[in-house]
Amino acid sequence: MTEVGRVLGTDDARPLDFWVAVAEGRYLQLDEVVYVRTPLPDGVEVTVYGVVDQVRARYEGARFDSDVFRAAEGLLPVGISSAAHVSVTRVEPEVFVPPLPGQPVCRAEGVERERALYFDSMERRFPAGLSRDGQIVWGNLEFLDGTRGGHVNIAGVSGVATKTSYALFLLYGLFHHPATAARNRHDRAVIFNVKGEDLLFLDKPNARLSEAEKARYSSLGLPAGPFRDVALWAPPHRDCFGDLVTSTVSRQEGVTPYAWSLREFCQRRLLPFLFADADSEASQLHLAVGAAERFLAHQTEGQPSSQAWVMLGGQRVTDFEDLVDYLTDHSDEVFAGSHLSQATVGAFVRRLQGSVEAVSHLVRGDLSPDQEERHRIDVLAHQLNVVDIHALHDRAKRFVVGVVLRQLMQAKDKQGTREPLLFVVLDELNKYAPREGWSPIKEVVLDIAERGRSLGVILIGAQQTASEVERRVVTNASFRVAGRLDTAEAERSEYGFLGTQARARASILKPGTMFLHQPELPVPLLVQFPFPAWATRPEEVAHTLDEEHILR
Amino acid sequence: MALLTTLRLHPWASTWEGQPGASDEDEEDERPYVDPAVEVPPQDWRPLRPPAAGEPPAFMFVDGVRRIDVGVVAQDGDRPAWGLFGSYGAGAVVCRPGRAQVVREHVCRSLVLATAGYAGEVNVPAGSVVLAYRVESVGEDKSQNDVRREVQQRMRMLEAELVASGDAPTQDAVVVVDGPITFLPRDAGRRALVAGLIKTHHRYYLEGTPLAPWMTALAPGERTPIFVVRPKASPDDRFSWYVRLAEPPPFHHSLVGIVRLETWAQVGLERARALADLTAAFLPRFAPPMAWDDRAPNNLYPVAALEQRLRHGLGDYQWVRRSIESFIYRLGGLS
Repeated sequence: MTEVGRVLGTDDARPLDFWVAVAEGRYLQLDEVVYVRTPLPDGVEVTVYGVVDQVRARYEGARFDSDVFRAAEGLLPVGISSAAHVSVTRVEPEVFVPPLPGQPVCRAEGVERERALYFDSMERRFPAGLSRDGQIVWGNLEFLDGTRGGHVNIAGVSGVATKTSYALFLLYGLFHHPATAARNRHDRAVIFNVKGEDLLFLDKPNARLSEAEKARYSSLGLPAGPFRDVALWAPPHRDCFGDLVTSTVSRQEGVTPYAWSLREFCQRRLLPFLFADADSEASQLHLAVGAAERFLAHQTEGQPSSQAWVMLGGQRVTDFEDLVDYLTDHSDEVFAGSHLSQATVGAFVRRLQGSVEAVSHLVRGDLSPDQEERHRIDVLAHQLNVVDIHALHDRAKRFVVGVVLRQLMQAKDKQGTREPLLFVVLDELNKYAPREGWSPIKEVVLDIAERGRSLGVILIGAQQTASEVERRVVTNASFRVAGRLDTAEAERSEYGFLGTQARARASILKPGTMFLHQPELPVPLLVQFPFPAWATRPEEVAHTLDEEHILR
Repeated sequence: MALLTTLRLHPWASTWEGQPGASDEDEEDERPYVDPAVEVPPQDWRPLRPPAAGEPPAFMFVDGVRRIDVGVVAQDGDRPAWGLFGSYGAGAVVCRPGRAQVVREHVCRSLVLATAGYAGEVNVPAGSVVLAYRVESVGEDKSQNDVRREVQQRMRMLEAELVASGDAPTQDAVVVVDGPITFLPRDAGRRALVAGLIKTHHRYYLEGTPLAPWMTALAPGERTPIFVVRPKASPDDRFSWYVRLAEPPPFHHSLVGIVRLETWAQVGLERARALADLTAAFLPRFAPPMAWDDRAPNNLYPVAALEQRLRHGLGDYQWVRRSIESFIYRLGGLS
C-alpha cells in the first residue's frame, strides 16, 4: 500500500470523480490506478477505485503569471501544488458516496489493481496489452467469445495507429496464452492482407525482436515467437496454365493460390460480389444483378462438381470472359420478365465487362476437381488464415472479401455450434460496411455483426474513421479500441467511450499504444502491445541455422 | 473556571479583523533624540551609494500577523472585564539567489482577559480541529485598548523568538524584521546582521533639520548616512538610516518608496555601515511594482507573501468566529 496523496477539498469530490493532492516527494501520472477507503458512519467501509486521467501542477501563493520570474530569482516564496484527477472505475460495496477530503489515496497494486480494473471478476480472460508500467491489462473473454458479447472495433489513422498489428496481437494472445490457448486450440482466424506482402511471414520469427521486447512478451505470459499454425492464400499468377502459381513476389513457398470454379460461381451465386461497391438502394442495378444471378444458378443447377466449367444454353463456357460474353449476348433471355429498362441492363453489362480484367484469374473453368478442392479457401483447416488481396483490383478485392465472408458464415451456419470460434479481421470497414448505401458485402458484415456472436464468428473490424462505418457494425462491438485519431475525427460521437481526456490524448498516441474500452470498465484503459514477434516483411525473417547454411 | 461561563460576545471590539493598519505607531516614540553626526558630519550629508556589490547575500525576512477573532466581555464579580479571542502568527522567509522559501511558520491563539490570576487553555471545537486558546490574564486595570495591544505584543514576541532562536537559516543571512527592533533581544545583533524595517513614516526623524531634503533626494539603491536615534522608552541607542526602494510615480508623494531601517548601536558603526550598505544595495530588488500590491513598493515581495500565508494559517475568519460563538453559546449553558 503506497500512499500517494490525499483527496483534496478545494475541488468537489464526487462519487464518480475526485481530485487528489499529491504528497510532496510523490507523483501520480496519467493512467495510474488508485483507491481510497471511506468509512461510513454505520461502520461499512467503501473502497473507491479509479484511474488517473488528468494531472496538474501550479504555484500556490503567486498572484500573477509573472510571479514565476520572481520566484525563480528568489524574491518571492511560493509553494507548488500538484494534483491528479481520478475517474472512478469501481465502488465496493456499491454505496455511492464521495471520498472525503483529507482521506489518504493509495496506488493500487496487486489485488487492489485487479479489483480496480475488474480483473478479479473475469472468470475467463485474455491479455489485451500492457499498461504503461508494464502490467497486464486483461480483457474479459466472455465479452469476446459471444458468451456475453462479442466483436472488437479498432479505429485509428493509417500508418501510426497500427490497427492490424493490434488485431494480430490479440489473436496471438488468444492462440498462445496459457489462459486461453488450450480452450481456443480449435479456434480459427481469417485476416486479409491488404498492404504489401506484410502478412505473409506471420509463421516466421522476427529477427529484429529485441531482448527488451521479448521481455514484454514474457511479462504478458506469452512466448515470443511466430504464429504456429498458419495458412497463406494468395491470388494465382495471371499467366499460368495447368498448375496454378501464386502471384506473390517475396514468398512462394507455403503460399497456396486461391480460385473459384465457374461452376461454383454460378451455383453458389457469387455474382453479386462483383457489384459490391455501395449502391444507392434506389438504383435498379441490383435488380439486374439479382436476375443474372438467378439465371446462372438456374442454368447450372445440377451440373456435376467434377467440372469447373459450366454449360449455358447448351454452350460450354470455360472461362470468365466467355461467361461475361454469354450474358452480354443473351441479355434478352437473362432479363426476360424482369421489366428492366435498357439503361439498367446497359449499366449492368458495362460493369460486368469491366470486371473481366479484375477477376478472370480468380474465377476459372480450367480447374480439375482436385485443383478446385485445393485452391478453394478453407479457413477451418488451419488456425490463422491469411488471404492476400493487396495486389488485386479494387473490384476483385471486394469480390474476394465478400465471397470469403459469406462462405465462412455459411460454413459456420452449417456447423451449428458456436465453438470453435472463427475470428475475422477486416480492415477498411468504411469500405465494406459504409454508413450510407447498400452492398452485398455490407449485408454479410452486418450479418456477422448481428448474428455472428451466436454463430461463433467474431469480427475484429478496423477503420480509420468509425463515423463513416455502418453504426450497427460499430455499436455491436463489445471491445472498442482507438489508436491515434485525427483531431476532428476524435470529436465525433462514435468516440464517446473515450471521454474528454482520452479524446484529447488520442491525437498524440504513439504506434503501439491504444485506448481500450471494454464493457465492464467505465473508463478506457491505455494499453501498449509489444513489437511483433513474427516477421512482417522479408528482411525481418529470422533464418534457422540450416537455412543460414544454405543461404551461404 | 467559573469566569468562562460568564463570557459574552462583544462584537464591536473586533475592528482589526486581521486587516493591516494597526500600526507600528504604538511602538515609536513621540520625540526621540536624534544625532545625525555619527557616520558623516551633517554639513557633508548627501545620498550614499554603496560600492558595487557582487552576488546578493541571503536575506531572512521576519514578519507576523494578528487578528481579533472575536471580542468578549466577562463578568468578573461585579466588574465587566474586557477580553478577546485573538490569533497571531509569525514566520520567516529566506531568500537566496534563485530560491525563496518559507522556513518558519508559527500560529498561536490567546484568550486575553483584563482579569488577574486566570490561566489555562480554552479548547474551541472548529470542525475537524480543536482551536486551543491560551488564557492570558493581563490585569484588572487594563482597558479595551490594552487588551488589544497584548495580541500585537505577543505577535512581536513571537517574531523575536524566531530571530533569537538563532537556528540554521539565520546564520549567514541578513535578517530584516518587519517593524522596529524594540522587541528583539539585544544580543541577536551580535550573531547576525539584523535590521528592523519601518515602512510607514509616522515620525519624521530629520524634521526641522537641514538634512531633511537629503531624504527625498535619494535614488533607488541609495541611503542616507546613519544617524542615532535614542527612544525615550529604551535605554539603547539605535542606528537608523533611510533607503529608497523605488522611484514613486509622479502622482505619489516623494516619501513613497522610502523606508527607514534600524539596528542596535551596540553592534558598532562598522557592522551597521555594512548592514546599511547591503540593505541599500539589495532591498530594492524585493520591492514590488504598484500593480502587485496595495502597499507597494514598501511591502516587499517576501513579506507580502509571508503575510498572506500566515493569515491563511490563522484559519478562515468567519469559520473561526462562528466556532467561537457557538462555543460560548454552549459554555454559557444557553444551548
